[in-house]
Amino acid sequence: MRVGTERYALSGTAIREVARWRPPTPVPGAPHVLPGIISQRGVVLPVVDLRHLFELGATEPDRATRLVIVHEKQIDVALLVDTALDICHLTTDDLARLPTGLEPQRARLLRAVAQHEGEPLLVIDLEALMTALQEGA
Amino acid sequence: MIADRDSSILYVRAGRQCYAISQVQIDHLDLFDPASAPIDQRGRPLICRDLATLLGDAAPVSAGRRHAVTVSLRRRSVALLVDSIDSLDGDESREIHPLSPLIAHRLALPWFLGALIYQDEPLLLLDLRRIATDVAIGAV
Repeated sequence: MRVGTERYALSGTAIREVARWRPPTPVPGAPHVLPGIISQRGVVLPVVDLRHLFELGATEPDRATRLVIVHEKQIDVALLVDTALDICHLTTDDLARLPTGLEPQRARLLRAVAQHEGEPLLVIDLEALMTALQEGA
Repeated sequence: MIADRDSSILYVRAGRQCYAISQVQIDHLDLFDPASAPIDQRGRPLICRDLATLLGDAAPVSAGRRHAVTVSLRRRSVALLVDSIDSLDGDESREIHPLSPLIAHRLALPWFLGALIYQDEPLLLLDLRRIATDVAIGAV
């Protein structure tokens, strides 16, 4: 998926569904990283704006914007991304350590980096991401 | 969690957003008369506050008719002013979905009992007593 100008990957086992974006219902007093809640198949889910979480510039949603519904640590959330690109297969050999120059705030939410179609692909550590959200990232 | 079927859920518009409120928490509903004395029907002090403003909506307060949703507390009442009030259409499910802990534990304003789904969208259910109490004690 694309978040801002960067490409990210998420383990397929955690993904429940990829849905079209629609405006979430804002929850007054919620931090910017949690722009609101949606109803997905009768279930109310919080939306997590990955662009805010990774401190990337947020743009207005468009037709490509997607909500990636994931399940981790017994919590379901909808991750707001700019585009859902494709499914790819990565092996352990494809994964490399994160570059040392990466901001610590972002690095703690990532597992590794891979090269895919000639471009870097940052692999999200979903467990760490959920923990960070619970701790108030 | 299923809402008590005897407790009607009302639909209110406050500023740019709509919310659900439970009639059980309301003492009475009325049109707001800005010229009337700030006392409730029992002669006790009445604090009037715009609900949208309390919820952080920066939109200008409506110049039209306002409705007062009055919540009675022990020694006073609080009238929360909204733009419109209506009952929910039809026989919508009244299941109240709790907010995810991810959001609930990070709210600056813990004023929500959960959300219910109305016309396929979540509608926040306000905790009017909590809001009124915070207004009455000067917390907001």
